Amino acid sequence: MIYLLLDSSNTLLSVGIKKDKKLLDKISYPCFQRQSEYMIVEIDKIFKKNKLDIKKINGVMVSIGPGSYTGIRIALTIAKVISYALNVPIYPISTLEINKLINKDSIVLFNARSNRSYIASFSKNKRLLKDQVMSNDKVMKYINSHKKFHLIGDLSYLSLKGETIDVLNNMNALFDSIKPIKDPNKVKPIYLKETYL
Amino acid sequence: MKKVITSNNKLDTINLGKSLGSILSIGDVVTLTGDLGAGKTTLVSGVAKSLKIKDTIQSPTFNILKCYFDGKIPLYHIDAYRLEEVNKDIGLEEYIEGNGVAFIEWPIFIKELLNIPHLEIEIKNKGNDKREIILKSNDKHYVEIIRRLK
Ligand SMILES: Nc1ncnc2c1ncn2[C@@H]1O[C@H](COP(=O)(O)OP(=O)(O)OP(=O)(O)O)[C@@H](O)[C@H]1O
Ligand SMILES: [Mg+2]
Repeated sequence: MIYLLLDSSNTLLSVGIKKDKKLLDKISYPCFQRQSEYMIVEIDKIFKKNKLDIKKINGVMVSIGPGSYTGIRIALTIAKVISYALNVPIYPISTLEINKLINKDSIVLFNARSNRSYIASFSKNKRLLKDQVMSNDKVMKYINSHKKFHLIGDLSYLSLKGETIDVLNNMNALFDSIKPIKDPNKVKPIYLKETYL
Repeated sequence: MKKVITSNNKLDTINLGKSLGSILSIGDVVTLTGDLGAGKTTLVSGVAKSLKIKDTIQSPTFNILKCYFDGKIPLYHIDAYRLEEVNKDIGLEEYIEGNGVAFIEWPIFIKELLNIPHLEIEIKNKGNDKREIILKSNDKHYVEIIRRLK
Protein backbone atom coordinates (compact mmCIF):
# COMPACT_ATOMS: atom_id res chain seq x y z
CA MET A 1 0.00 0.00 0.00
CA ILE A 2 1.33 3.42 -1.02
CA TYR A 3 0.30 6.74 0.46
CA LEU A 4 1.24 10.33 -0.29
CA LEU A 5 1.91 12.52 2.79
CA LEU A 6 1.60 16.32 2.51
CA ASP A 7 2.13 19.26 4.87
CA SER A 8 2.36 22.95 4.01
CA SER A 9 0.46 24.36 6.96
CA ASN A 10 3.38 26.28 8.37
CA THR A 11 6.82 27.42 7.29
CA LEU A 12 7.84 24.06 5.79
CA LEU A 13 6.98 22.31 2.58
CA SER A 14 6.93 18.56 3.26
CA VAL A 15 6.18 15.69 0.91
CA GLY A 16 6.56 12.01 1.79
CA ILE A 17 5.76 8.59 0.43
CA LYS A 18 4.58 5.93 2.85
CA LYS A 19 4.93 2.33 1.75
CA ASP A 20 3.17 -0.11 4.05
CA LYS A 21 4.49 0.64 7.56
CA LYS A 22 7.55 2.57 6.41
CA LEU A 23 8.29 6.10 5.33
CA LEU A 24 9.86 5.25 1.98
CA ASP A 25 11.15 8.72 1.06
CA LYS A 26 10.66 12.34 2.08
CA ILE A 27 11.54 15.89 1.25
CA SER A 28 11.08 18.80 3.64
CA TYR A 29 12.45 22.35 3.57
CA PRO A 30 11.52 25.90 4.68
CA CYS A 31 9.31 27.48 2.06
CA PHE A 32 7.08 29.93 3.93
CA GLN A 33 4.41 31.57 1.76
CA ARG A 34 5.73 29.93 -1.40
CA GLN A 35 4.56 26.33 -1.05
CA SER A 36 2.03 26.83 -3.85
CA GLU A 37 4.88 27.27 -6.32
CA TYR A 38 6.77 24.13 -5.33
CA MET A 39 4.51 21.45 -3.87
CA ILE A 40 3.40 19.87 -7.16
CA VAL A 41 6.99 19.95 -8.42
CA GLU A 42 8.19 18.07 -5.31
CA ILE A 43 5.40 15.49 -5.55
CA ASP A 44 6.32 14.83 -9.17
CA LYS A 45 10.04 14.58 -8.33
CA ILE A 46 9.67 12.19 -5.41
CA PHE A 47 7.44 9.79 -7.35
CA LYS A 48 9.81 9.79 -10.33
CA LYS A 49 12.84 9.30 -8.10
CA ASN A 50 11.22 6.26 -6.47
CA LYS A 51 9.96 4.95 -9.81
CA LEU A 52 6.39 4.91 -8.54
CA ASP A 53 3.20 5.87 -10.33
CA ILE A 54 1.11 8.42 -8.42
CA LYS A 55 -1.99 6.93 -10.06
CA LYS A 56 -1.44 3.78 -8.01
CA ILE A 57 -1.54 5.38 -4.55
CA ASN A 58 -4.07 4.19 -1.98
CA GLY A 59 -4.69 7.53 -0.27
CA VAL A 60 -3.37 10.95 0.71
CA MET A 61 -2.57 11.99 4.27
CA VAL A 62 -2.63 15.74 4.80
CA SER A 63 -2.38 18.20 7.69
CA ILE A 64 -5.42 20.49 7.74
CA GLY A 65 -4.45 23.13 10.29
CA PRO A 66 -4.62 25.13 12.39
CA GLY A 67 -1.80 27.06 10.77
CA SER A 68 -1.13 29.48 7.95
CA TYR A 69 -4.36 30.52 6.22
CA THR A 70 -3.04 29.96 2.73
CA GLY A 71 -0.60 27.22 3.70
CA ILE A 72 -3.21 24.80 5.00
CA ARG A 73 -5.27 25.32 1.86
CA ILE A 74 -2.43 24.51 -0.50
CA ALA A 75 -1.74 20.93 0.64
CA LEU A 76 -5.41 20.32 1.31
CA THR A 77 -6.49 21.49 -2.15
CA ILE A 78 -3.86 19.31 -3.78
CA ALA A 79 -4.98 16.37 -1.61
CA LYS A 80 -8.62 16.95 -2.56
CA VAL A 81 -7.88 17.08 -6.27
CA ILE A 82 -5.87 13.85 -6.07
CA SER A 83 -8.58 12.21 -3.97
CA TYR A 84 -11.23 13.24 -6.48
CA ALA A 85 -9.28 12.35 -9.59
CA LEU A 86 -7.96 8.98 -8.38
CA ASN A 87 -10.93 8.09 -6.18
CA VAL A 88 -8.75 7.48 -3.10
CA PRO A 89 -9.48 8.57 0.50
CA ILE A 90 -7.98 11.53 2.38
CA TYR A 91 -6.45 10.99 5.84
CA PRO A 92 -6.79 14.43 7.49
CA ILE A 93 -4.74 15.19 10.60
CA SER A 94 -4.26 18.20 12.88
CA THR A 95 -1.13 20.22 12.15
CA LEU A 96 -0.50 20.63 15.88
CA GLU A 97 -0.71 16.89 16.38
CA ILE A 98 1.88 16.02 13.72
CA ASN A 99 4.26 18.30 15.60
CA LYS A 100 3.93 16.56 18.97
CA LEU A 101 6.56 14.33 20.51
CA ILE A 102 5.13 10.85 20.35
CA ASN A 103 4.93 9.15 23.78
CA LYS A 104 6.19 12.24 25.61
CA ASP A 105 4.66 15.29 27.26
CA SER A 106 4.58 18.16 24.82
CA ILE A 107 3.08 21.57 24.18
CA VAL A 108 2.91 22.46 20.49
CA LEU A 109 2.74 26.14 19.52
CA PHE A 110 2.61 28.27 16.37
CA ASN A 111 2.40 32.03 16.04
CA ALA A 112 -1.22 32.97 15.23
CA ARG A 113 -0.24 36.68 15.07
CA SER A 114 -1.97 39.59 16.86
CA ASN A 115 -0.41 38.38 20.13
CA ARG A 116 -1.98 34.96 19.96
CA SER A 117 -0.84 31.38 19.44
CA TYR A 118 -2.24 28.16 18.16
CA ILE A 119 -1.75 25.66 20.94
CA ALA A 120 -2.34 22.00 21.75
CA SER A 121 -0.82 19.78 24.41
CA PHE A 122 -0.32 16.08 24.88
CA SER A 123 0.66 13.87 27.79
CA LYS A 124 2.13 10.61 26.53
CA ASN A 125 -0.44 9.91 23.88
CA LYS A 126 -3.37 11.50 25.66
CA ARG A 127 -4.57 14.86 24.47
CA LEU A 128 -4.69 17.56 27.17
CA LEU A 129 -5.56 20.76 25.31
CA LYS A 130 -7.57 20.52 22.14
CA ASP A 131 -6.40 22.63 19.17
CA GLN A 132 -7.19 26.24 19.96
CA VAL A 133 -6.21 29.91 19.66
CA MET A 134 -4.90 31.38 22.92
CA SER A 135 -3.59 34.82 23.87
CA ASN A 136 0.15 34.82 24.41
CA ASP A 137 -0.32 35.90 28.05
CA LYS A 138 -2.30 32.75 28.73
CA VAL A 139 0.16 30.69 26.73
CA MET A 140 3.02 31.86 28.95
CA LYS A 141 1.02 30.94 32.05
CA TYR A 142 0.25 27.53 30.61
CA ILE A 143 3.91 26.93 29.79
CA ASN A 144 4.96 28.02 33.29
CA SER A 145 2.50 25.63 34.89
CA HIS A 146 3.76 22.71 32.75
CA LYS A 147 7.48 23.06 33.30
CA LYS A 148 8.33 19.44 32.50
CA PHE A 149 6.70 19.53 29.07
CA HIS A 150 8.70 19.73 25.86
CA LEU A 151 8.02 22.93 23.92
CA ILE A 152 7.65 22.47 20.20
CA GLY A 153 7.61 24.97 17.36
CA ASP A 154 9.46 28.08 16.23
CA LEU A 155 8.95 30.08 19.40
CA SER A 156 11.18 33.05 18.65
CA TYR A 157 8.01 35.21 18.67
CA LEU A 158 7.70 34.36 22.39
CA SER A 159 11.46 34.74 22.94
CA LEU A 160 11.57 31.03 23.76
CA LYS A 161 13.37 28.10 22.22
CA GLY A 162 11.25 25.25 20.89
CA GLU A 163 12.20 21.86 19.51
CA THR A 164 11.61 20.96 15.89
CA ILE A 165 9.93 17.73 14.95
CA ASP A 166 10.16 15.59 11.83
CA VAL A 167 6.55 15.95 10.73
CA LEU A 168 6.72 13.28 8.04
CA ASN A 169 8.03 10.65 10.46
CA ASN A 170 5.19 11.62 12.76
CA MET A 171 2.56 11.44 10.03
CA ASN A 172 3.78 7.96 9.23
CA ALA A 173 3.67 6.96 12.90
CA LEU A 174 0.20 8.43 13.45
CA PHE A 175 -1.30 7.12 10.21
CA ASP A 176 -3.15 4.19 11.76
CA SER A 177 -4.99 6.46 14.19
CA ILE A 178 -6.61 8.47 11.39
CA LYS A 179 -9.97 7.67 9.87
CA PRO A 180 -9.96 7.82 6.06
CA ILE A 181 -12.54 10.06 4.41
CA LYS A 182 -13.77 8.95 1.00
CA ASP A 183 -15.58 12.12 -0.08
CA PRO A 184 -13.05 14.97 -0.55
CA ASN A 185 -15.86 17.52 -0.09
CA LYS A 186 -16.20 16.46 3.53
CA VAL A 187 -12.66 17.51 4.48
CA LYS A 188 -12.46 21.11 5.69
CA PRO A 189 -9.46 23.18 6.81
CA ILE A 190 -9.23 24.00 10.54
CA TYR A 191 -8.59 27.70 10.90
CA LEU A 192 -10.10 28.52 14.33
CA LYS A 193 -9.74 32.30 14.17
CA GLU A 194 -12.82 34.48 14.30
CA THR A 195 -13.84 36.43 11.24
CA TYR A 196 -13.28 40.15 11.42
CA LEU A 197 -16.47 41.47 9.87
CA MET B 1 7.40 62.19 15.61
CA LYS B 2 6.37 63.73 12.33
CA LYS B 3 8.36 64.78 9.29
CA VAL B 4 7.15 66.48 6.11
CA ILE B 5 9.05 65.98 2.88
CA THR B 6 8.23 67.71 -0.41
CA SER B 7 8.35 65.73 -3.61
CA ASN B 8 8.48 67.76 -6.79
CA ASN B 9 8.14 64.89 -9.22
CA LYS B 10 7.79 61.16 -9.57
CA LEU B 11 11.55 60.63 -9.31
CA ASP B 12 11.68 62.39 -5.92
CA THR B 13 9.07 59.99 -4.61
CA ILE B 14 10.91 56.99 -6.00
CA ASN B 15 14.13 58.22 -4.37
CA LEU B 16 12.40 58.62 -1.01
CA GLY B 17 11.18 55.03 -1.40
CA LYS B 18 14.76 53.96 -2.13
CA SER B 19 16.16 55.55 1.02
CA LEU B 20 13.32 54.11 3.06
CA GLY B 21 13.91 50.65 1.60
CA SER B 22 17.57 50.79 2.51
CA ILE B 23 16.85 51.25 6.23
CA LEU B 24 13.87 48.95 6.71
CA SER B 25 14.27 45.47 8.14
CA ILE B 26 12.26 42.26 8.42
CA GLY B 27 9.00 42.75 10.32
CA ASP B 28 8.61 46.45 9.48
CA VAL B 29 5.15 47.70 8.57
CA VAL B 30 4.36 50.89 6.65
CA THR B 31 0.88 52.22 5.89
CA LEU B 32 0.27 54.51 2.92
CA THR B 33 -2.67 56.86 2.74
CA GLY B 34 -3.58 59.44 0.13
CA ASP B 35 -6.05 59.85 -2.73
CA LEU B 36 -6.13 57.74 -5.86
CA GLY B 37 -3.05 58.60 -7.87
CA ALA B 38 -1.28 60.30 -4.95
CA GLY B 39 1.85 58.21 -5.46
CA LYS B 40 1.60 55.37 -2.95
CA THR B 41 2.48 52.63 -5.42
CA THR B 42 5.20 54.84 -6.88
CA LEU B 43 6.83 55.08 -3.45
CA VAL B 44 6.71 51.28 -3.06
CA SER B 45 8.40 50.89 -6.45
CA GLY B 46 11.33 52.91 -5.04
CA VAL B 47 11.48 50.62 -2.01
CA ALA B 48 11.54 47.61 -4.34
CA LYS B 49 14.46 49.10 -6.26
CA SER B 50 16.59 49.47 -3.15
CA LEU B 51 15.75 45.89 -2.15
CA LYS B 52 17.02 44.78 -5.59
CA ILE B 53 13.67 43.36 -6.60
CA LYS B 54 13.57 42.87 -10.36
CA ASP B 55 9.82 42.60 -10.94
CA THR B 56 7.96 45.82 -11.68
CA ILE B 57 5.71 46.91 -8.88
CA GLN B 58 2.10 47.16 -9.96
CA SER B 59 -0.82 48.21 -7.84
CA PRO B 60 -2.23 45.05 -6.27
CA THR B 61 -5.72 46.61 -6.25
CA PHE B 62 -7.23 43.58 -7.92
CA ASN B 63 -5.25 40.86 -6.19
CA ILE B 64 -5.08 42.65 -2.79
CA LEU B 65 -1.65 41.17 -2.02
CA LYS B 66 1.51 40.84 -4.05
CA CYS B 67 4.67 39.23 -2.68
CA TYR B 68 8.14 39.79 -4.03
CA PHE B 69 10.63 37.19 -2.88
CA ASP B 70 13.54 37.82 -5.23
CA GLY B 71 15.05 40.80 -3.38
CA LYS B 72 17.29 41.19 -0.32
CA ILE B 73 14.28 40.58 1.94
CA PRO B 74 10.68 39.70 1.05
CA LEU B 75 8.40 42.63 0.21
CA TYR B 76 4.66 42.34 0.79
CA HIS B 77 2.53 44.92 -0.97
CA ILE B 78 -1.08 45.05 0.16
CA ASP B 79 -3.82 47.21 -1.34
CA ALA B 80 -6.89 46.90 0.89
CA TYR B 81 -9.07 49.11 -1.31
CA ARG B 82 -11.30 46.22 -2.32
CA LEU B 83 -11.69 44.94 1.25
CA GLU B 84 -14.23 47.58 2.27
CA GLU B 85 -17.24 45.79 3.73
CA VAL B 86 -16.17 42.30 2.80
CA ASN B 87 -14.76 39.45 4.85
CA LYS B 88 -11.17 40.42 5.62
CA ASP B 89 -10.32 37.09 7.15
CA ILE B 90 -7.95 35.92 4.46
CA GLY B 91 -4.74 35.54 6.45
CA LEU B 92 -3.24 38.97 5.75
CA GLU B 93 -1.79 39.04 9.28
CA GLU B 94 0.76 36.44 8.18
CA TYR B 95 2.19 39.06 5.83
CA ILE B 96 1.73 42.10 8.05
CA GLU B 97 3.50 40.20 10.83
CA GLY B 98 5.51 38.18 8.38
CA ASN B 99 9.06 37.51 7.27
CA GLY B 100 9.54 40.66 5.26
CA VAL B 101 8.56 44.32 5.04
CA ALA B 102 4.90 45.13 4.48
CA PHE B 103 3.48 48.18 2.68
CA ILE B 104 -0.23 48.70 2.99
CA GLU B 105 -2.29 51.01 0.77
CA TRP B 106 -5.78 51.92 2.07
CA PRO B 107 -5.03 50.67 5.64
CA ILE B 108 -8.37 52.11 6.80
CA PHE B 109 -10.08 49.00 5.45
CA ILE B 110 -8.01 46.60 7.56
CA LYS B 111 -7.70 48.65 10.76
CA GLU B 112 -8.31 45.58 12.91
CA LEU B 113 -5.07 44.04 11.63
CA LEU B 114 -2.96 47.09 12.41
CA ASN B 115 -2.92 47.15 16.21
CA ILE B 116 0.85 46.90 16.05
CA PRO B 117 3.49 49.63 15.87
CA HIS B 118 3.97 50.90 12.33
CA LEU B 119 5.11 53.81 10.23
CA GLU B 120 2.34 55.99 8.76
CA ILE B 121 2.95 57.77 5.48
CA GLU B 122 0.45 60.19 4.01
CA ILE B 123 0.84 61.62 0.52
CA LYS B 124 -0.99 64.85 -0.35
CA ASN B 125 -1.39 65.99 -3.93
CA LYS B 126 -0.41 69.66 -4.09
CA GLY B 127 -1.24 70.11 -7.76
CA ASN B 128 0.65 69.09 -10.90
CA ASP B 129 3.56 66.87 -9.87
CA LYS B 130 4.01 68.32 -6.40
CA ARG B 131 3.37 66.08 -3.39
CA GLU B 132 3.65 66.58 0.35
CA ILE B 133 4.80 63.38 2.01
CA ILE B 134 4.13 63.16 5.76
CA LEU B 135 5.83 60.48 7.86
CA LYS B 136 4.47 59.76 11.34
CA SER B 137 4.98 57.32 14.20
CA ASN B 138 5.12 57.26 17.99
CA ASP B 139 6.99 53.99 18.14
CA LYS B 140 10.71 54.20 19.00
CA HIS B 141 11.86 51.94 16.18
CA TYR B 142 10.00 53.93 13.52
CA VAL B 143 10.90 57.31 15.01
CA GLU B 144 14.52 56.31 14.42
CA ILE B 145 13.71 55.40 10.82
CA ILE B 146 11.98 58.77 10.25
CA ARG B 147 14.97 60.51 11.76
CA ARG B 148 17.38 58.79 9.39
CA LEU B 149 15.36 59.72 6.30
CA LYS B 150 16.35 62.77 4.33
N1 LIG C 1 5.70 63.74 -7.14
C1 LIG C 1 5.09 62.61 -7.56
N2 LIG C 1 5.19 61.49 -6.83
C2 LIG C 1 4.57 60.35 -7.20
N3 LIG C 1 3.83 60.23 -8.32
C3 LIG C 1 3.69 61.32 -9.09
C4 LIG C 1 4.32 62.54 -8.75
N4 LIG C 1 4.01 63.44 -9.70
C5 LIG C 1 3.23 62.80 -10.58
N5 LIG C 1 3.02 61.53 -10.25
C6 LIG C 1 2.17 60.57 -10.99
O1 LIG C 1 1.07 60.21 -10.15
C7 LIG C 1 0.71 58.87 -10.33
C8 LIG C 1 0.80 58.12 -9.00
O2 LIG C 1 0.28 56.82 -9.19
P1 LIG C 1 0.34 55.69 -8.10
O3 LIG C 1 -0.12 54.45 -8.75
O4 LIG C 1 1.65 55.69 -7.46
O5 LIG C 1 -0.78 56.23 -7.08
P2 LIG C 1 -1.46 55.49 -5.86
O6 LIG C 1 -1.41 56.45 -4.73
O7 LIG C 1 -0.86 54.16 -5.65
O8 LIG C 1 -2.97 55.33 -6.34
P3 LIG C 1 -4.09 54.21 -6.02
O9 LIG C 1 -4.82 54.65 -4.80
O10 LIG C 1 -4.96 54.26 -7.24
O11 LIG C 1 -3.40 52.90 -5.87
C9 LIG C 1 1.67 58.30 -11.36
O12 LIG C 1 1.04 58.35 -12.63
C10 LIG C 1 2.86 59.24 -11.30
O13 LIG C 1 3.54 59.34 -12.53
MG1 LIG D 1 -1.63 52.12 -5.70
